[in-house]
Amino acid sequence: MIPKRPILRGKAPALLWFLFLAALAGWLILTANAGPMVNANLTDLLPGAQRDPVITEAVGRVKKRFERNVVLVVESDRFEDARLAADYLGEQLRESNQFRTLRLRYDRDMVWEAGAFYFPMRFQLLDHKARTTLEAGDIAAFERVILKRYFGPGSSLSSEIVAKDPLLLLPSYLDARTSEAAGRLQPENGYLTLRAQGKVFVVMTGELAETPFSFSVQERLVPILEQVRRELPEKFNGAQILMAGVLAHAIAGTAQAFTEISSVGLGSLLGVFTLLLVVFRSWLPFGLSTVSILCGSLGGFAACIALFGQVHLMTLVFGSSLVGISVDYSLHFFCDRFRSPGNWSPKLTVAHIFPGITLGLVTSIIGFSGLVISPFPGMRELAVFSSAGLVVAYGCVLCWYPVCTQRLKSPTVQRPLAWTSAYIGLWQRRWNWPVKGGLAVLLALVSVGFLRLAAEDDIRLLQTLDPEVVVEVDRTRALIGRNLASQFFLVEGRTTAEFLEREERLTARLRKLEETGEVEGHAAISDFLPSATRQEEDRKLLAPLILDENGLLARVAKRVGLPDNLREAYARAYAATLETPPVGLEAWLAHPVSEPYRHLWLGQTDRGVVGVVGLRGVFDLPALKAVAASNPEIHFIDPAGEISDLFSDYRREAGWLAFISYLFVALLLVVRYGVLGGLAVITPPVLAAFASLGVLGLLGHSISLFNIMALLLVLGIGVDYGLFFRETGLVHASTFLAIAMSALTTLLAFGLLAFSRTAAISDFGLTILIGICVAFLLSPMAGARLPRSSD
Amino acid sequence: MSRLALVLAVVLGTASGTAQALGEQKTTLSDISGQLVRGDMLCSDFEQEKHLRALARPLLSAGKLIFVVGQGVLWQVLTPYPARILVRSDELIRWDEDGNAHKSSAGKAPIFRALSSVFLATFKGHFEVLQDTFDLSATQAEGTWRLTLTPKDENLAAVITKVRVAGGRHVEEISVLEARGDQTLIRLRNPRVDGCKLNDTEKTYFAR
Repeated sequence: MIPKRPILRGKAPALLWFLFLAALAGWLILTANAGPMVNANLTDLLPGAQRDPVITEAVGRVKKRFERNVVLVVESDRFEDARLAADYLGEQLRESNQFRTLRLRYDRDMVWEAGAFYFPMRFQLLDHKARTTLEAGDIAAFERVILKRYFGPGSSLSSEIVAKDPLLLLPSYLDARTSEAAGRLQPENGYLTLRAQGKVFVVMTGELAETPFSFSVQERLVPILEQVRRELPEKFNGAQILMAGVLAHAIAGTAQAFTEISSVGLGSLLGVFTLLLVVFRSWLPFGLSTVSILCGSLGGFAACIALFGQVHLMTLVFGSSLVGISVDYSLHFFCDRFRSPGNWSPKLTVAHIFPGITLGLVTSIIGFSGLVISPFPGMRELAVFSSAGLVVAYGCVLCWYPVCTQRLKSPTVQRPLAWTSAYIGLWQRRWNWPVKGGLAVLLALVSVGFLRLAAEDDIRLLQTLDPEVVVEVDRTRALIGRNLASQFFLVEGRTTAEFLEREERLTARLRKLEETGEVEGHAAISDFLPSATRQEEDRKLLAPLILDENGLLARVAKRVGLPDNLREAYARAYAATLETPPVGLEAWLAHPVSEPYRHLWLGQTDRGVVGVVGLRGVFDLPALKAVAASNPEIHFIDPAGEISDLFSDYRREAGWLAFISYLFVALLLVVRYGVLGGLAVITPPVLAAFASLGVLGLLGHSISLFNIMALLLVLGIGVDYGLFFRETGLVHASTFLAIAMSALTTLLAFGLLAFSRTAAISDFGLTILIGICVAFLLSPMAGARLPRSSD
Repeated sequence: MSRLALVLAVVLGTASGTAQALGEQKTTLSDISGQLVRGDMLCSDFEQEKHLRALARPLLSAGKLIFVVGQGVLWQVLTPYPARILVRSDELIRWDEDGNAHKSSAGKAPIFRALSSVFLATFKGHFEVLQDTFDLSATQAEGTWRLTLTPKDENLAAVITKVRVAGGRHVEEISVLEARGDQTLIRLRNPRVDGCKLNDTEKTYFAR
């Protein structure tokens, strides 16, 4: 649809172009019914690590479960207030219909549930310490532990337990479990309650029906949460809500993104509007530029939907501002009026600027195509969005502008032209002192800055966690004891039995690391349901202690006064369990007792089953990686570390990419303008790139992938400036005015990103800010060897 | 054999009931708190009798306890098997064979939670804390007061029927009657506020 020749007769191209865009919009509207087209989950912008599809899928399941998990805690001075407030909150949240599950009441005591499930297994369920003691043959120590339970303070002994489990195997196992796991929560009147810091906390857990980044989830939940947060202190004597889970961060993140988008967007819009109005004294340039940017964004959006099926919110934001480069084309069109104010006509203008903006479009697309091969889905989307957007905006300029500006009068204001003329004058008198001095200072600064540059590839570049939310989430997690690290292990098995055995081998190695301090603790299913093999081993260990005439049971019974009938019944119960098969994972999963730990189970895969072993307090990553390295069925997953590694890999790769792009564009320019001319055009953007790196170094910033990405843009835009000089044939002050306006609008669009709270975005903005300033100031260099025009 | 313990429990229960009928008068919580000697710390020896219906005889143990306001109660069993436990208002710290401390929620041991709040309440005279969890009734006879606590919370009531506390200038006796008929009786011997100090080892326990 892009006209091959700029000068087509009449209004036909304008009409055709309009029909094309209308068709595009119609197609988008029809597609919109198929499902959501905009995605706001930041993590979807990140590349997946390259590995086994089964593991990738399992990690995906962990991620999905993790991000949908929500913990809400109501804090109050009194239980009654906390309970009522939690009821109220629960009711409100249930009405939102955004939760797949929401658990507040626990009708049956979890201790009771645990007792009911584990009691029949008591002979095959030794805790780690008891097993180690017995395996070492230290029966005296084992006996001492049991008797301490009988006589010690604070024991939860009751006749029921003593009568049916006089060796106290079950209480000992359950105590070990709860001290290992988050054992701080207790049901009180059916509410999961925690008393700490002189306060009462009632805990509610839920799973969202959709990702917390979904707009519909946030749209319904945010007003409810805000309302309840406001109402609670008043209605329930100062009760308050604490929230943990990705939802908390997602809400804050979306709020921040919207604030930044609207402030950056509004700022640049206002700036550009004012600029155009002041220079051209007409609303038409602004109106037409806005229309072409909007049409460009529409085109980019449609291209992304066609290729990827959806568009990320961030692509939309960045992409639209990249399409903003197309303002350059509009500006060249309108600034051309200053070239020959007397006999200006839209047709002549199109003929005059066509080669320049076409080359500009091509070089910009070359710059963006570097992003297409990037592994970041977001970057790929961005490249497609921006390239398609620019093509459409370019089409708008060529097809519509000549028709719409028929009646536009020639400008009368010459003052901006006088300013730009004066600046070009500096460059016409070659190698005078301001230019030389400026370059010398620039080079000196850049060299100093370069020496100070360091790389930084941390994932925190992408995170802008609201500090208040972080405090709240950390406090909640600490309270309820859900402080698992972001790293974890995946354990595979062909069967559930094999899975449990492999997991036990892993936890045995983890326990050693826990003793030496490399890691603080772990959460594993086999700690709550031992493998069949282990259950049988445990049973065997107990045989002599229970069955021997003068064994441990006999001695304990004598010491505490256990009647003979109970002792004999216990021995009979033991003998009977030898006939029953060990308890399998399926039974555990089906029982309420597994509820707090079920998230560790991921289920079937293409080649068996897979589960998670969570970690607490990771202090030595290499040690944990080493554990997985020797076992192909155990995988150590470090999502944050993987992203940081990827950032570092891709920073290097993108660095080369940028280098090749610059080289390629330089080659193109040399082919068109000859060696000297080509070099004259490529030098300003190259110097600009070096200058931005140097200034970043001077400011003490470090270099990440995002700075390199920005350098690609500096190339695309900086080369445009030179091209416009070159292609207009003579060094027109009007060309430089167009470049000046273009640089100003770019600064307004991207420079403002430097103020973003997300490090990646502000790095990006800052690099462009510096690069564009330098590229703009040096741009007359491109036309330095051309004769000056007479106007 | 277990019937004996049951009978004992019942007798103990009716005995105090009879005593009340004979000569004790209802009293108020503020009267009780008026009698109690206040201080920042209380040291005492204790004897514990655990009557389990299932066992032929009570489990006897003895040791010493230190109560520090705002810090909790440190129970140190000396005979027959040394053991140590620190009960705070919301958590419970146990030391294992190897001297490692294990924290858990005080809620895990409802009996000890009840005991700990009784201590806190009686020692500071702050009975409101108790009233959140228990219905209280108090009687008084000849310088000795008796406090009966009945759990309000269903879950606690499923474990504990009643807690009885008796004393004069100090808490002297605490008995916990469990729902299934087991009973724990703790007698404080030689409770003292004066001269009660933490030694260095005990300080490290409280510093946990």
